[in-house]
Amino acid sequence: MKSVTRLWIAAVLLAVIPSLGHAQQTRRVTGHVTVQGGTEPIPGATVQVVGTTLGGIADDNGNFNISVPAGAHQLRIRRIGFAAKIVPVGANDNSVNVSLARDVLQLETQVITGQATTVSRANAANAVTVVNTEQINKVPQQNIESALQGKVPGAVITSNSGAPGGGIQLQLRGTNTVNGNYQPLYVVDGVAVDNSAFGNGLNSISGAGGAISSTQDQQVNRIADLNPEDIESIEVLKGPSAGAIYGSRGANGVVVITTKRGRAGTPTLDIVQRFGTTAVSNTLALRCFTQAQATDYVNANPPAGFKGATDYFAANPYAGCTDAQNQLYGNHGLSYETAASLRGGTGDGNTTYFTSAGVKHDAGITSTDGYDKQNLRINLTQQFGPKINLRANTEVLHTLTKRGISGNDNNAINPLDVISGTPSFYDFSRKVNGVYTSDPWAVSGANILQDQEVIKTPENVYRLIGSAQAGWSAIASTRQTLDFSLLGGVDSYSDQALIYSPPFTYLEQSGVISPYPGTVANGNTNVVSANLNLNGTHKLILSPFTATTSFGLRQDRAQVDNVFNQGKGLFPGITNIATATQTAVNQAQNDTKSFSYYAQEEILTANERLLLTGAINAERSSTNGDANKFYSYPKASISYKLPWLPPKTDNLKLRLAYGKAGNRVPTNFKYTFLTPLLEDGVNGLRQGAQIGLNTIKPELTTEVEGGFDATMFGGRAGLEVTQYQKKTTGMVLTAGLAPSTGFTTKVINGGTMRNVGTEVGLNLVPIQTSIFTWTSNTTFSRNKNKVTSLPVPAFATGSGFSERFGSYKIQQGYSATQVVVFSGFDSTFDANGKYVSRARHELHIGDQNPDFQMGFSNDFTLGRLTLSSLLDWRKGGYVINLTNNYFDFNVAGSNFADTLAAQKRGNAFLAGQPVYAEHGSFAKLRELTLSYDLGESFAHRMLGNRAKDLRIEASGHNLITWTNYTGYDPEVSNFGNAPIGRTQDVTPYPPSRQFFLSLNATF
Amino acid sequence: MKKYIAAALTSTLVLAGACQDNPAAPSRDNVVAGSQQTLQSLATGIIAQDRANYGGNYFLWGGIMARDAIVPTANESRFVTEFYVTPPDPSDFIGGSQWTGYYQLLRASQLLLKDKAFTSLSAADQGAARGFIRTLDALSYIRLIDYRDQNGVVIQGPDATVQDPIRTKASVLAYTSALLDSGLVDLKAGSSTLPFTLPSGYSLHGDYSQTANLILLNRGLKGRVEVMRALDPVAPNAASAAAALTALNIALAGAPSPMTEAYLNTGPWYQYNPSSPESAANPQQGSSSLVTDNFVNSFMPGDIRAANVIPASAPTVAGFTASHRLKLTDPNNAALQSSPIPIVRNAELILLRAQAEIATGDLAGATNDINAVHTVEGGLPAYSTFTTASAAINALLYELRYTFTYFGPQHIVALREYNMFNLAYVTQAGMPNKGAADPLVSSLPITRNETNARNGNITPVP
Repeated sequence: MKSVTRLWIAAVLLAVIPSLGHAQQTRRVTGHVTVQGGTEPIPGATVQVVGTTLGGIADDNGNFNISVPAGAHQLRIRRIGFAAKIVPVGANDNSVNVSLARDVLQLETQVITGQATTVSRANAANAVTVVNTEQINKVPQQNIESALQGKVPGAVITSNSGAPGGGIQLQLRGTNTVNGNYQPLYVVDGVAVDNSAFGNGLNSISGAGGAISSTQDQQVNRIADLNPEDIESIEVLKGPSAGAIYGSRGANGVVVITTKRGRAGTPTLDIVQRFGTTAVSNTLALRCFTQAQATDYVNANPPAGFKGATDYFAANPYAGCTDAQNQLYGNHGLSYETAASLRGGTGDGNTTYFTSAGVKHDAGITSTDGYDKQNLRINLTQQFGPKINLRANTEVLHTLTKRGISGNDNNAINPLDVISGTPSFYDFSRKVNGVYTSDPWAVSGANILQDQEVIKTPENVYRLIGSAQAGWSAIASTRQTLDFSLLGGVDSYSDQALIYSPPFTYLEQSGVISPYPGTVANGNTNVVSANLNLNGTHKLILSPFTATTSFGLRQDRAQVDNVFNQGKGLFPGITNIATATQTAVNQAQNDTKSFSYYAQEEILTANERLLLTGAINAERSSTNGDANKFYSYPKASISYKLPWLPPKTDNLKLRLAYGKAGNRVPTNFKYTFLTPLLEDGVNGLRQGAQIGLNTIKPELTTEVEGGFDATMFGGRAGLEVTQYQKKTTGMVLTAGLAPSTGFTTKVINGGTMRNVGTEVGLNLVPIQTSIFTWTSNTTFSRNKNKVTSLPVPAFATGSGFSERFGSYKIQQGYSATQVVVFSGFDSTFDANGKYVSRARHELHIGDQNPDFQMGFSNDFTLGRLTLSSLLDWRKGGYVINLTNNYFDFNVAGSNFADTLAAQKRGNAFLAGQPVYAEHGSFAKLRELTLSYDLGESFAHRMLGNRAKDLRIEASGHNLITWTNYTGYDPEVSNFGNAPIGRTQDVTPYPPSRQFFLSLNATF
Repeated sequence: MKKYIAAALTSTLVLAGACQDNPAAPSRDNVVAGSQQTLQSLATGIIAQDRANYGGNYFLWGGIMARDAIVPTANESRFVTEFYVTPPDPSDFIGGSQWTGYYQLLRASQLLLKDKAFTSLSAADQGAARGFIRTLDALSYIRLIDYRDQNGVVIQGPDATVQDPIRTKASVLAYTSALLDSGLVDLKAGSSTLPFTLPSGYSLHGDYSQTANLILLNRGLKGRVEVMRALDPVAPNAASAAAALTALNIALAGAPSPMTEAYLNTGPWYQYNPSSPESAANPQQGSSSLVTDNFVNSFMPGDIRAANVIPASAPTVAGFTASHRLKLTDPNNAALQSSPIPIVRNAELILLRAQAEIATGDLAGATNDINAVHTVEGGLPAYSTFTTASAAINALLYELRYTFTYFGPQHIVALREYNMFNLAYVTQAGMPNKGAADPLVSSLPITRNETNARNGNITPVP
């Protein structure tokens, strides 16, 4: 503690080296920044006098007015989306006009290097991917993760189901952990936002797991709440070498999101109106029966309450070959979105604002499912004189998700479970006296269309993400600046989930769920996470180098309170749990606090060719065994732009970065709990199943990343190649114990894991003429994981149903995400033929994660017409297709159209073969957009003279999937997000494709 | 300059608050040690774990193994396939079951006996409590062996950090027998009542908070163990049949003549309370929990237990289905959710004594005991004295089948003991028959997690 404080003080002292900023004579220089090859002004361009801290920002018309020291100087003009340019300004010049070329390869983007510092991407020592607002919103996105699919090398972004509302896993550079957090830290305008996923209580009727809610509730991770339309840029720091400054939350990478801000000048109003629809992407081919075959089938296999075909068909007429999937999932509802934003500021730039509001509705592929969102954002900036500025960002939003029933169940309630056991000659849509009939083939008698109409699954989230930041420019001279900022941020939301299954359904009346018909489950989850950051940044500009020193501290706190109430046995129409015959309550709580210091030094020298960075973060957390002990996370990096270049090469940069980051210990892992067991009104206790570790400390991941960035052919080509190696030590493991000890797991810090990977980004502008431009971005990434040491015997982990289907095992020498399967067994008998023993063969069949993935993004612009596409290709990865198991073994002889293949598969399974572990390779056309800019004159005619632009777009999302996978979708996950074990396909919500028509108007 | 440093240091002090947290659930540290409440909580934890272990399909698997019960569930084919088609998977909810919970109970027992709440009791109260705990421990070992049979089980040692070896069935039964004897000594030396309250099921059919009755339970279980030892096909213990008779005669000393249903039901029972906040329901109900057609068709004419069978339906799974269920499994009957289930009742002890009598050649005694169940629970005319052991065994198996299906594995355990897997109702046409060499799945494998933790070495040692 003392040493860290001393370090902090030293950093402050270093930062305020006095007297370097002696006063100089200055003059005013004005200028105008325009787009190269035209007259269009570039508002917001940053103008800086090279070698000094002096500069300013161009206004709404591209004009600037800055102070320049006496004598000849150079000005650097930068703007996101344009290539930076350095222009001379003579000793007697008082005005400069500059034109900037569009930076289609994003070479000049500023990227984050620390809590309060950025550097031009041209100098960056890490492969930080930046995705800007245009790339994010090329097609209407349900959430920001889907907006990143196929665009970030090293990111595996996978949808858990086709249900509306999200539920997507983003994993950067493989799996660093078995039991810890596995997702990146999301930071929005300096606020660390929560990305937890909570069940909605579906388990209360599905019976898939224990308790009222379970991980099989088809959860949505709450980053889905963020509004993609408000985002200016997303920077993806992929590993510890870039994210070490985030301490024990940086090991899995950091996704830094910056929302749009105001701009000085005339207000700009953007309005987007979208209409669209959705359609199921894929259904399974079901078995059809002729009437004669159906008669034979029913006679041989009469369902409950029927003797044979005669009485069966009298009650349930032969319906031909009815595909219940289309009956349920054939909805093409109207989706719409209205988004408006207003951006502006006072002419002097002292006050700027960005405000936006949106209303969105995504229709589901059933008539009752869907996703609604309303959001309001206000971002304000106020300058108080030359030294103080205030920023306040606030977003309030509400989402309503209705996802219906999908995933694993044990109550014959999931529609696909019911369909798997119902021959296609039964018609779910038939009504008698206006009432759906009971499906005699389902043990629950459930009619899936009745359930879909009356079972309610709304999940409302009310969320506030806000931050306030005060900046103080303590020193601002020609050669040095010292700035302090204090930022307080809060992310608070209430997740209110309801499951209501009325008592009159066949399902409830059957007693399958409970002998008390009618179920209601109320989930109420309150999450508050807050952080307070104090940052100081000192910049010293001398002729041989520019030194940027930053330092600060940070406090985080996160509270989660998750309460579920359940009632069974309801009066019709009553959802009040207090009136239920049988009630139950579950609650989970946790509270985490952490505190950290950091200091960072960056030196840019050798004519801005060489960038050296060193930093350290020291952090303590309440989840550690010793809550007062600080753990340190250093990083260092170097990048160098070569002065000698191969032919046709504009720029070649070599980079090497090293960093250590932690992974916070999961809450409560240091404790050995007692498990409450209630009997006869007496609260009993026994030891919990897990032995905690009171000395637990964070996992430590060390990363070395190296590579090069090259630009060639006059900015027409960019190549980024990165190789990295990560080593995680002191893994936080819930190692398997022999259950005969009375405990099943113990928490340990032990073992090491390695991830090695390659990332390539190739950006090309193959054609660039005055009327036609073709821009192509290709990404490639591969990651190999290996558990290199394990101090305990191999143990099973992750979610799954059994090793016969395929499950996951932590084992030295194998990938942490390996899939293992029992593949047959041998029985031995003695001389008398008596059974002696049985041995199983365990097969290491492959890995859940892909061998590699590629993204192909292409934009073709012909005049005002633009065609954009994004193809996402993933090769390899195993998925456990339990949906096939349902259909193979239901309906005597299988309910698949290809009964022979299904029977063969089923028999192979019974013989012990691993037939349900399938390759999950796929290619998806994620995005396709055709956009036409109608132009200013047309906009004037249509919308009045204040209109500046009008654009029309037709777009689609997930339009085509190419795969040999035999299930609905190789991306699905029954257990939602998980580092290990997410590839279990159990009767999922089928995937869908979306179509949108958009009008974008600017005033 | 100073003001910058001061501001920074002030901020540091303000922000650098303590980083302690509050655990979200009870731990050993925040439960007050040594209090009466602690003793009651720890005792209830053990008792509730025992009930949970029973509900974890102890009552069911044996019935499926013996082809009496069948659970053809559309969304979970393994209820059928893992017993009728393939061996149970040691990694799933069948092959991996009936293991962990017992060892949690055994560890909880050890922790209770070390806890200050226990050691601060009087010697007499300690005796009563220890005798009860050891008797429950023995019940756990019996149930472990019921399902693992010759695969063996672990005798849990005092140190949770030590991985004790898997022991042979014979060793475990010998240990369990001694454990019960030790418990008997404690009970005899103990107070007349337990120093903590038992659930109401323990006083439903006899007051088992009284040590006098716990002694009867202890001896009943001793009889169970000794019968298993006597009839162990691999390592039969010659002295055990007589030892079983001795123990069971003590347990059944109060048997009336003529036999009554009340006496047959005497014993500790599990009580269920499905209402809030306990939410513990009788586990026997299940939408697909049926009985096999052969079970239904094999009732002796006039057996009043046949009235407990009602029509039901189920899908065909892997070629198997059924058309009837026992009333007690009816999921639509809400009242059944609070229906108690016997832990051990005298009917079982009487049939165990019959087994001991058959083993010692006392066919008259065996006939008398079998008739006690046959006439009262089956409502059937009494058998004449059996003239052969096989006749007595067949009659015994019939009673086990129709008395204990959906209550436990007593039937499959006896089939195993008498090596009678090839009985007609097991191998009949239409029923699964994996071949004469391996006709039935009659035991569960050592679980995957236990196997993994031992690097695959699960061969039992004596």
